[in-house]
Amino acid sequence: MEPLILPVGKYGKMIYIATDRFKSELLSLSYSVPLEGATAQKNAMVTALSRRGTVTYPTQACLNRHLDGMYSTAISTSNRRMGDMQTLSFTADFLGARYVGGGKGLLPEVISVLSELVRKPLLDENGNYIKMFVEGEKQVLRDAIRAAINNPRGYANAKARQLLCAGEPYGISLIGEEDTVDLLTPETLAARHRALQGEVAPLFAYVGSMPALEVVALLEQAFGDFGGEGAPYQCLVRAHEGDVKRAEVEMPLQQGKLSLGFRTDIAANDRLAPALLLVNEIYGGSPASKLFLNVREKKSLCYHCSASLDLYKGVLFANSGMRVANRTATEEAMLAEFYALQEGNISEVELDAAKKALANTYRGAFDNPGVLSRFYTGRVAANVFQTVDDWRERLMRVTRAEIAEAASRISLGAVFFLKGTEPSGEEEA
Amino acid sequence: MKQIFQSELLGEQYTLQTHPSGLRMYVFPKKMTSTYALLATDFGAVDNAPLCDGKLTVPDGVAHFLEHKLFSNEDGSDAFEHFSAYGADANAYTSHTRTVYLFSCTENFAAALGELIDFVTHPYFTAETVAKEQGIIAEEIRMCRDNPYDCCYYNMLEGLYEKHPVKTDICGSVSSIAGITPEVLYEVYRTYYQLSNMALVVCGDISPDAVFEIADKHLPRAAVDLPLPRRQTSEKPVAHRARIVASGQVAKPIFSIGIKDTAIPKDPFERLKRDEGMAILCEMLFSESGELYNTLFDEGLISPEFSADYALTRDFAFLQLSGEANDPDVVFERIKEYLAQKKAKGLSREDFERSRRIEYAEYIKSFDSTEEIANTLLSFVFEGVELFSYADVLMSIDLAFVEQLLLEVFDDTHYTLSVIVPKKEEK
Repeated sequence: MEPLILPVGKYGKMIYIATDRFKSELLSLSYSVPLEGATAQKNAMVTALSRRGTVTYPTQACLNRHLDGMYSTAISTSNRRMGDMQTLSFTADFLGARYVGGGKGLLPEVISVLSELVRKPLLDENGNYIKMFVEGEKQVLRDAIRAAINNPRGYANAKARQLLCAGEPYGISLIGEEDTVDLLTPETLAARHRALQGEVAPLFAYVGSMPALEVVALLEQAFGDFGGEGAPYQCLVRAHEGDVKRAEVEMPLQQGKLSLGFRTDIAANDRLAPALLLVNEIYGGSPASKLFLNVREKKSLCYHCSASLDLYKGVLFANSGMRVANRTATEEAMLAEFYALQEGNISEVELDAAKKALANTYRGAFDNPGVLSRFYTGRVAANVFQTVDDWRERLMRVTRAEIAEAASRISLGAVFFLKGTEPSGEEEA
Repeated sequence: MKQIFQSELLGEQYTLQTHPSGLRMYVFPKKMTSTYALLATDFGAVDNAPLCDGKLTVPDGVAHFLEHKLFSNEDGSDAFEHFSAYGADANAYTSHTRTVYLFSCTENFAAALGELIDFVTHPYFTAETVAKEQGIIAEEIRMCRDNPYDCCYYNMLEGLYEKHPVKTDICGSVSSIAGITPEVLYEVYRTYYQLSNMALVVCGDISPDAVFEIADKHLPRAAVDLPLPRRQTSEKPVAHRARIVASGQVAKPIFSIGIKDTAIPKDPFERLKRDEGMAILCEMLFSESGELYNTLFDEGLISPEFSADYALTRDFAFLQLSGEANDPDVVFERIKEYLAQKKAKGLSREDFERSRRIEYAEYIKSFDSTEEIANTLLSFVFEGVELFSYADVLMSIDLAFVEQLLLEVFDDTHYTLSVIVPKKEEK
């Protein structure tokens, strides 16, 4: 399953992964734009509005019914960070040709619907979005912004990210802030849609069994003249400087949520990037990690305690949930594990387990079209292309000295605590 | 003796062999990189019948507690560490009706499968390790209490059921788990972890014989045959309470409408048919393509995330409709009006065919993942039906059957409404 990268039209590319392993196929279209306060919210809205109505499918119900008729084809949208870029995607998951009567199967129709969603939103006679759709989506957006508090763990992580990367695109919300929602209009959003249509470089990914050139031909019919040069990938990767930033917010919860933000100057194309991933894995990436085995299992301080890395941005977040009374003990225990790692305190067992876990993850990627396409889409968008197998092999060659070196280039930059103010309800068991 | 089950439609097959220990072993060969294995017991949070001739009351949350504790080995090691040494990704979960231990791996399958069987069949509990686990699970319970969606779900069950243990939190409470001791855990384990009450399911690029051979090396030779106490709870068809409102950390009210279904067929095949009939009916009534969803959404009455999930087991069944709304009472009334109208006018054949086709497509797609195949196969095993019979059941369902379900299940007296309002708005 080595991927091919093929041109599509003047500006596009397709990551082609040939396989007949799956009963379903996957086609995605994504494009990246600089993550900026002035446009992030509009980009999110334009993507969401695509589902509201198009020229051929003028209502959401109409579009959904059409997709149902295509053997329950699902088209999802996403809005993600990719370094300091905002990546907007449309992903279709549909049954393979052999289950729907053979021939080219559903792919031509999937491409047609995808093109409709991206290129032909339903507009009024002045070329603007339909006001009712815009007002409806604005309310959905307001609700989504406010609903951040519904998920305490996600809230704490988002606050730690904002604190750690304040003033940088990475600290910006992908859906914007509530105070700018009222300023969105059918006119400004239609203008944003037009701008995106002429600017973005489309990146397609196909996982399935149709020959590559046939897929390209179908895509070119629908998207041959779509897009532009695209904005160059950008991402500021730097070590934290100055004091550790701290913030705390109170909420009526039983638990506290602690999120520690670390950063490094190791970029995704750095020779130490594989070692950085191993640092995260050993620190808090699995049930064999230092955080899980020592902070949770040995000290019994919390139920969840883990770490995650954004390899592109060079930021690592460690988080946990605990009784408020245990906050200091938990923070100290989490940091002690990190400092132990920096000092090279890594056992053979830990190193071996981390490498095997990552090998398992990347070998397993071949079993999941979504994981496979996201891996390559990210690598291509960030100009650090490598195959899954290349990457796994690099991880396996990482030495203990490289892990210590990578860890030494990571420092704590932010600590956010979401303080629960409710009594814990019942006495400690 | 081996039994082989085949599906021409899917081009798939799996093999069953029952081990002398009583363990049913299922192997579903699949050309994938990862192999997924699970060992499960037909014992979950609802199984709280008294043990030891009625002398031992089982504390709430014991199935989940046992799931956590089985990972601790007698030598002080943790099974997770052993799986990590093999490069396998292990986990476990407890539901209302079962407890499942699992791993996936891309190498060292034989060693990992041996570890799975060994740790699940060798319990080791001490007062000290139980006390430590009480601290960890207490934090898990607090985390769930802070989760408004969990609270809304359990309040919905509280509204539906007067006595049935399905309404009890799977984790129990901080005070109920305080009553768990090594002795309780050993007794519960002895009763419900008999291998004849369990199943092993493996899906991946491996032959059935290879799996059976590995398992045989790690399993005891003889079966244990102890009684399996199951509490029989009779529930009235009507919902216990009409409405439960609580406050939580939410920006906008969230709701869960519960619809109690007590007409559960005894015959497993009929249960599967009812389950599938309800899946088709829910697709027809509540999907994002349907009239109800789009009307409520276009009027701004509900947020985009609105879901309908039907759960059917051998002794409880309910439908849950959940979402977010400024005024859940209005949404509840509108849903009731819509259902009354559908009951009066009947369902459309076109919608029925569309929904059945969706179920068919979802069934085929589910055979793309070793994890999904293994977990679905397990559900069928514990429900007592053959996995590939699904397609026949689906085709045996007609519009009349689904219309009958509509009339039977959607009775106003079976409904409850659970709402979580933002803290300051509690009424």
